[in-house]
Formats: sequence, structure tokens, C-alpha cells
Amino acid sequence: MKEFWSSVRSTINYLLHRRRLEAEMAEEIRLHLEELTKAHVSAGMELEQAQYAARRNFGGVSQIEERCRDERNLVWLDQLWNDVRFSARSLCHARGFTFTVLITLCLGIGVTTVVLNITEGIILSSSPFPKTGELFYLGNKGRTRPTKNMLIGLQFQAYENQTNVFSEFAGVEWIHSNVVIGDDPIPVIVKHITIDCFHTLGIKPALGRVFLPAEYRDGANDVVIISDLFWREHYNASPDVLGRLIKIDQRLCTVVGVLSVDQMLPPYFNNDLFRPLVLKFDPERPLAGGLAVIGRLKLGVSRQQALAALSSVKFRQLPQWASDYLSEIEPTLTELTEVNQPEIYWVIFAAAVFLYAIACLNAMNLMLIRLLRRRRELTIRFAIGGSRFQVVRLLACESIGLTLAASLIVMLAARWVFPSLFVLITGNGAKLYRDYWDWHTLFCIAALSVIASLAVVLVPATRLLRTEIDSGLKDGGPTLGESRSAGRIRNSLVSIQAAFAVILLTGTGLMLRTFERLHHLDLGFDPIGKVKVQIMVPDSYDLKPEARLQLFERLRLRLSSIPGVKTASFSQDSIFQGYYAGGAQLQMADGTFEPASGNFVSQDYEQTVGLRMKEGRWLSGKKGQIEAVINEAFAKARFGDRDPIGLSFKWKAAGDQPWLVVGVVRDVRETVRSSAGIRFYIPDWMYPGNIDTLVLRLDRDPKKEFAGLVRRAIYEIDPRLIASDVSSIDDIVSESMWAERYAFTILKGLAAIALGLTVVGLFSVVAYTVDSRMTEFGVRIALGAQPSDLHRLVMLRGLAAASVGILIGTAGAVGLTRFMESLLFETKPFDPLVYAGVAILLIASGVAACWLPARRAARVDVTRLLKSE
Amino acid sequence: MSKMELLQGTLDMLVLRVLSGGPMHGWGVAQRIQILSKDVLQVEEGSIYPALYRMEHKGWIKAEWGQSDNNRRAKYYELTKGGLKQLANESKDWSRICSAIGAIMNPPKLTDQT
Repeated sequence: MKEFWSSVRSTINYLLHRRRLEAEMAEEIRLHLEELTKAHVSAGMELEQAQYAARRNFGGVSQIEERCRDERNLVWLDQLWNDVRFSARSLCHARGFTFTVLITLCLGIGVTTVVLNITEGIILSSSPFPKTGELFYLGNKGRTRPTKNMLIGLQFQAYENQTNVFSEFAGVEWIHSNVVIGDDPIPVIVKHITIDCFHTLGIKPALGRVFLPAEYRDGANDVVIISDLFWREHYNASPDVLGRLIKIDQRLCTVVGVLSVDQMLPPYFNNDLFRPLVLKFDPERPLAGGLAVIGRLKLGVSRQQALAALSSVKFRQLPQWASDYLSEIEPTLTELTEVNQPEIYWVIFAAAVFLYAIACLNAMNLMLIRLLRRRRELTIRFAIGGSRFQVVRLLACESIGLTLAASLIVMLAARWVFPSLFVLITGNGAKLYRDYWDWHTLFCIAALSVIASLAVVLVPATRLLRTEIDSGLKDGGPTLGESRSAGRIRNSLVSIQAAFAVILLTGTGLMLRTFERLHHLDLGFDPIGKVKVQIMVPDSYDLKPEARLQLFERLRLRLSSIPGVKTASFSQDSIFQGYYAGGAQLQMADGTFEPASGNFVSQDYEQTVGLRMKEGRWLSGKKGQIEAVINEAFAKARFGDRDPIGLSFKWKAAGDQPWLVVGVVRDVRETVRSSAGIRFYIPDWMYPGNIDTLVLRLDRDPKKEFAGLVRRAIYEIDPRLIASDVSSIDDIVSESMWAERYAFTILKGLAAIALGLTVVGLFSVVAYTVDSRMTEFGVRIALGAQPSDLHRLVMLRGLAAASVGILIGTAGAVGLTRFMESLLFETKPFDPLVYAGVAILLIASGVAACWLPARRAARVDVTRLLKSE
Repeated sequence: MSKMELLQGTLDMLVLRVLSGGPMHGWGVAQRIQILSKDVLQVEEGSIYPALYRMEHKGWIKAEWGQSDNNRRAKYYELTKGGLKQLANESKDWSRICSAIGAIMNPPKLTDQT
């Protein structure tokens, strides 16, 4: 073994320093001959005789030199070196080919690596959390409520104390806080975590420590752990951040830990600031406090057993309405991976695989064409005794060289380009600081390159091993046309490429339709220019309902005076909340109760939000008038076909009080994907204690600094209030479509690349066909064909390949796109418009790809061709 | 006495043996073999070089350019650890072959025993 490595080393040394070593060998031999001659001369010979004798003694110099060369050289390594040099030279020579293949492979390998990086957590279910299979979100669902992966504080306490099916819990409650660093107050959601939280999720801070058990107590909990991004943005990644103070809601908290840069947190847990959670029960507000909780099931406990245990929990003595609410909801357990819309990642992953396949096919086809173009050269090689194996080796050398170069480029991109690319795609600033130059990415690139180089070399190599030696000479000679089987392979490769592109384009088209539908969706109001301002009143601020009403009226007047604000109003819920609250119990015609959403609104709410009256009138605003405005869903559910105006209804919390319906408004959606629930609007003075949101209407969409103006105004009115959320409703609407936009953005990019590669593939195939049939075209012209005939011939040939691809691709898309149904909105997976559009787009690209070669064919110059023969 | 051709495959061993005395250049090795064999063995001097290069390639000896006695640049060869081991192996094999061949060529006379 040692000898083997020694010989490899020595051979490489020889290959690298061949010239010097050769010179040294010659010098050594010359020296020897001189010494021999000298010895002979001193023995009494004439100089000439001595030289002759020395040569005789020594033996043939050039034979010996040759033998020396053989000894210090490994034959296979030498051959390999020659192959590498030869293929490098020929690749440099064929610049267009090399460039195209490199771009193709870089795109294929690079894009797939990026997508794998985004999706690997979901695809490989290689979650960063220890034993993810045992982890479940605890949540609630009601008869008419969708599953919500949140618990009320009271529920969590009961589960923790009364059940024995979980080994540990990771819980987090978010609290809107004013955080002051230096002098700037910024509103931040601080996540308060339970004692097991970091342990359950396997989180260890990169700097500092986790919270101590003693710190989970009121008064001792003024400690904070910060995220990497927060650390970089506010502390310049300074290592002496530990021990520094952050002012959170007037309390000075000590930084005790910094999370690592690539710390993954499950949905709901992601955040910048963490503090220890101290759960308190407030009998005044028994259902307050919401937590996201992940529980780890004990070994051997099934999901059903756990659910049964959760259902059997008894809650403490509560007011009737609260226990009514609790009795209506049932516990749910949701796997970690189910929360994050995994189908999006699967769709993106599949798209990337298709793109990779297209890139490989393209490279394969280009290689094949290159081989065919070199048929004459290869035939001559064979004819003078070169073996097929040698040529295959050359081919392998070229393709490995190309993929190696491509993967090097991608690796450099991983180092310098990926971070900004990820930020571009995911919009997550924290990604900028992560290093993608890790073994994970490098392994991914290496694996993809190996597969690509195999693919690229395989088809041309098998093709090569099957060719007849003389057919090359014949084909390259004055024969007409081209070999049929070669043409078939090329065309079918292009067709498969086109088919994959069709599948990708169809998926993208469906997302485009979905996106368009979502964009032009009638939400029931116009979100443009509306701003929602959510006000948090801290627990310590004892605000009586009447005072609250006055306070909000003052806020309303103050905010309407901000330049640009046309009207302002306040209410209990915002519009477009993202979920349907349904906290009120509406008494139905048959006496049963149905969840409904009651909204306590100020007088000008209708005008500010832009609700559309269907019939009747808006609330009069007169104090003491017990009246309500209902939405269409309400009217339909409660009154059926009857005209609701002038009728009245009852709801549980209001007891026997009948409410007079004075108007019906159009439905307003709470999320883009769900239709509106039952909703009624009643005057603010009825229950002012619940009011927490202001809605402003502006002339146009607010500028960036608008939120600051609002915050300052609120601070001036009452510094104890926290403006927890000031955001444009339009932004909220588009944020709620992030998943669709995310999938659409990525698919758009992938599909564009796929289409581009397919055009390149088609172009190169058609161009080659035209080249190899030039003589035939010349003969055709000589026999009387028109240039337009040739033009048509070439176009049809190319478009036929594209059409086959469209047919296969359409069939594939029909089979595959139904997996993305859950992502679509008001769009059928078999949307004919999309399919037709994709077919037209592909035909158009086909025409574009064939146009130049076809023109070249039509301009064939007969006399020149005949001369060249 | 006429000179004898060298036995196939023994040149490496001879070179190793000569080099075990210390670093030496190619010319010196050839001379040394002539002298030690008392001019019996006829070595085509040039064929030392393929042997030297082969053994350098295998890592048994290493070469370095140095100054020769008469102040000329010369390439000096030196045994490595691997070469020493190789020499030991080969000389063991050699003596086994010698005794085996000797036993065949000069069998102990049977008549002496009776």
C-alpha cells in the first residue's frame, strides 16, 4: 500500500515537473558517460576510442532513458493526465458548448441545492428538535371553530396538573411590550416561556445560559434571552452582551443568553426576546392568557389516549359563560410538521426535482450533439486503432470536468450568493447571517453533481459503444440525411425536457390563477388606505369601562387629526382579523344557540371601514337605542328568507334583551380563504370594556413613518398604553397570502429557468439537424424546392418534438397538480385556461427556438455547398 | 575468467546492498558493483538507472542532488526505511535460494554414509 501511494506521488511529481526531471535524467547519464570515458582514458585509451568504449559499456542511451521513463510513471495516471489535458483543451476550444453546459448544470445543481436547503426539514422530516415524532401542539377546536393551536392559560395549568400523558411541555405566551434599548422605544412581542421549553425543543443558547428554575417566579424573572438577529442588530454581535440591561415595560431585564444563528424554532415560538413565564390566574378574566404549547408524549402513550386524558380534565369553578365556552371546545393534538403547510414545500421540492431533471437532460443532449458533431474525428480515431474505451474515457473526462466546474461555481455561490438569495425568497433577515457553506450544502452539491455527470455521460457513452465504425465515415460523407436512431434519441430527450417544463409551467400557471383570484377577491371592503391600530392596556392599568370609552374617543379624535387621516373609528375587533372569533351565542329560531361574532363599534365605523349597506340603515349612534346591524350570513342563518329589517334577535350574554335589526351589511371576510361568519354590529357604549382597536382611513396607503406618528400621538395621550400593532390592512391581507406568494415566487423562478433550458435544448437539436442536413437541403433546392419549403420543414420538425413534449407534460400535469389542490384558491387543478396557456407558451418558445435554424436552412447556398463537396 | 551475465531480478538487490553502505551516485553504484564482484559480473552500466528510478518510484530509495568528489553536481541515492526492509527481505530470500540450488547442484554423496 505504501509503495502504491509512493508511486502515485512520484508519478504526479513526474507529470508536474516532467521537463525538469527529464533534464536531470539526461544530465545524470551524461555524467556517468563522462566518468566512464575518463576511466578509459586514464587506462591509456585514445579519447575517441574511450568515448566509444564508454557508450558500449553503458548501453543504448535512448533505450535506457525510455526504460527510466517507464519506471517512474504509472501508465494509467499518465493516460488520465493526457485525457484531462486533452478534454480541457477541447472544451476550451468549444466555447459555446462549454458555456451552455456550464450554465445549465450550474442552474440545475444550484437551484436544487437552494430548494433542498429550504425544504429539507420538511422533506427529510429531519426536524431540529429532539424526537420530533413525540411532539404535538396542544390546541382546541369547537363545533364551528377550526382547530387553533393555542391554549388558554387556565387550560394549560389544568393539563399540566391533572394529566399524566406528557413527559414535558414547551409553552410560550406572547406579551406585547415596549422595549427600550438606548433611548428608542420599540414595540416587541416578548415570548414568555415555560420552564421545560428550551429543553423540550433541544435549544441551547450559543452564548450564556438558559433560565434557572428560580427565575420562573414573579420578581425574579427580570432576565432575557435574545435571538441572534436581535443581538446583531442591536448589539453589533458584541460578545460582552451578557449582563447588559434591556428595559422591557419599565423593568430592567438582564441579558443572560443569546441563541445561535441557525437556531430553528417551531411555528409560534419564533421570536427575538424570551423571558421566563410566570402564569397567574385572574378570576376577573378567567379566559385571559393564550399560550402555544408543544407537549412531548410519554413513551407508549398513543395520541388517542392523550386526547382522552385531556378531555377528562376538570376546570375550577368559573362564571357560567366561561365554563360554557370551555365545555364547547375539545382538545386537539397536531403534529409539528402538520402546522407549517408542508404541501407547499412538497410542491416546491417536486418543482426543483423537475428542473434538475431538465438541466441534466439538456446537458445530456448537448453532449450527445457534440459527440455527433465529432463523428468524423472519432471515426478516424477508431480507424487508426483507438479503442472505444478510450473515447468513452475522454467523454467521461469532459463531463466530469464540466460538472466539477459547475459544482465549484455553485459552491462559491453557496458561500457568497445563497444568503441574500434566501432573504430574497423567504424575506427573513436572520437568514443573512447564517452560513450556508456547511457540509450539508456541500454534500448536497456533491451528490447532485455526481448524478448529473453520470447522466451526462451515460447516454452518449452507450450510443458510442454501439456505433458502427464505418457508419461514421458514411454519415459524415456525402450521404443524405442523418442517422435515424440518433435523431430519435435527440428528439425524445428534447420532448421529455419539454414535458417536464410543461408540468412546471402548469403548476406555476395554477398558482398564478390562484394568486390572481386572491388578489381580486372581494373582501367585502376595500383594504387600501386602511390602518389598524391595536391598543394594549396593561393589566396594571385599572381602566373602568366608562373611562375606556372616553379614552378611545380621545384617541379617535387625536388620530383623525394626523395629516392624511380622513376618518377614524374604534371597535372591539379589527376588520380582517385572520380568524373568526365567534364568541357570542346567537339564539336561533328553534331556541338553540349558534356561535356568532358581536362587534362593538363606534358611530363612524361603517364609514371608516367602508362597509357596504345592503338594506336598512347604519346604527343611529343615539345612546340608549338597542339596535344592531347584521351581516348577510347572519340574516340568512337567523331569518332565512324573511326581510330582517325591523325584526329582533337575542343572544346569550345579553339575556332576554331583544335587539332590533336596523340594517344589513355585506359580508366582510376574516381571512382570504374562508367565507364570512355570522356577525352583528352593536353600539360601542353597550360593552366598552372590550374595545381595543382603532381603524383609520387615509387618502392613500400610509408611508413608513406613519406608524411612528400614530405611536407618538398615542403616547402623548396616555404613556401607559401600548400601541402593539399599527399596520396597514392591505399589508395584513397580503401577508395572509404569504404561503401562496412564497410558492408562486419560487415556482415562477423555477418555471422560467425550465422554459429557458428547454428553448436552449430545442434550439441546439434543431440547429444540429439543420447543419447535418445542409447537403440534403442543397439538393432539394437544386431539384426545385422553395426556401419557404425548407423553412417549414425545419419548423415542423422542431415543433413536432415540442408538441410530443406538450402532450406528455399535460398528461403528467393532470396527474401531479392535484397534489397541490390545497394550495389553490377558486382554481381547479384542471383549469383549461392554464393548460391552453402553457401549450401556447411552449409552442411560441418552440417557434422562437427553431426560427434561426430554419432561416439558416432556407438560405442554403447551393453553389457553395456543391463547391465544398 | 570470462564475465557472467547477471541473474534476472538480482540487480535491485545488489543496488540496495551497495547503497546500504551510504549515499552514492549512479556512477559510484556501478563502479562499486564491479569492484565488489571482482569484475566477475558483467553489468551493462546504463541498466542501473532504470533500477534506481524504479526503486525511487516505489519509495525504497530517495535521491538528492549534491556535490561529487571532483566538485561536480551529482545525484545521490540513499536507502529509506522501506528500502532497508526490502534489502533484508531480499537477502533472506537470496540465501534461501542459494542453499536450495546448492543442495541440488552438490547433493551430499550417498556412498559416504554407507
